[in-house]
Amino acid sequence: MPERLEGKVAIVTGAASGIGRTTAIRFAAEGAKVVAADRNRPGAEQTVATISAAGGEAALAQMDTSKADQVEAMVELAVTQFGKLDILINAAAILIVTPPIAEHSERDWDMMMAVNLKGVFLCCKYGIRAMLKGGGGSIVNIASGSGIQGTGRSTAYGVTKAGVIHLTTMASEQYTPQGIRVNTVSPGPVDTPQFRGSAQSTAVFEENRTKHPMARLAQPDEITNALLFLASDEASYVSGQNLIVDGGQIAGAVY
Amino acid sequence: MDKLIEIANQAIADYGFRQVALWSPGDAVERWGLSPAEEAVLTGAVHDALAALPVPVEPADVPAEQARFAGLIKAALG
Repeated sequence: MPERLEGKVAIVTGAASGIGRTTAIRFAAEGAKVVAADRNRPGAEQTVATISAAGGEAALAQMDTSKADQVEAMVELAVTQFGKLDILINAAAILIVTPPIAEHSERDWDMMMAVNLKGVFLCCKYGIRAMLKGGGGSIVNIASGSGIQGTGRSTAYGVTKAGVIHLTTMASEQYTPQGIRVNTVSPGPVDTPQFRGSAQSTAVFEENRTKHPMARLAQPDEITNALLFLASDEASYVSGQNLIVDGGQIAGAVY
Repeated sequence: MDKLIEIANQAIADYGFRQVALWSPGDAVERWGLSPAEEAVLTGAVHDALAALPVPVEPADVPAEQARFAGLIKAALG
């Protein structure tokens, strides 16, 4: 069976853990050359080591997605080391639990806006420039169910994820005619360090699990499956979409 | 010292903020206006102690951890 990303070059941000890590490893297994990007260097090194041990090709970019010069250098690394950029997966994000708006700290707001929304904008900006030179590509931005519903543990996080969904729509409108497909995946609760951490207690984490329509949380590779489809040529006629991968959580809440 | 203790307190209780303190210490230095001595403690002893915390720190354990970190910071800054 042919590998689904054979000959492709991909950047995955947030590759040190969670969905970003499983995606970087899976994309490499599917034939892509991968730039594993994260500010967490030890975590990203583990991801690259896992890819290399399996016979894949990967490079590490220690960087902060909210810093334009570091994003530009990350894209440049993909182009200089692997020759081009075909796929960009924007998985880097932080989730700081916040109180309601009247008590919400401006500092926490700014930090989440910087990484979760400005970071995706910057990665799209420089990624698109490289993709245009190569004749096209595929971008998949990771949003969240909390960017769709007024639920969740953090106002700023939900607002940034809503922004990511709309940024995707606008990027698709602007660049689909030039061969760049842009889509969003909005996961529900996923068993990642970030989600476990944001629960702030094992009891709350377990409550989230038992109340879910499937009585379980997603594993990161279940989100990666959706990312792989959208990133690959199998989704050649899909752009501007937001694919909700939440095990029926939002549908259950509405109906 | 108080700013650094404030950062540690939030990083203990909140995993998302812990990621900022661990991997973007420059942001914390800038946003809190930490001194070079405080920055050295944040990227040294506090970093190592934060990296060793469980995910999440259970609510019942937060006060004891915050007291432990405050002691660590006071000792490091003299």
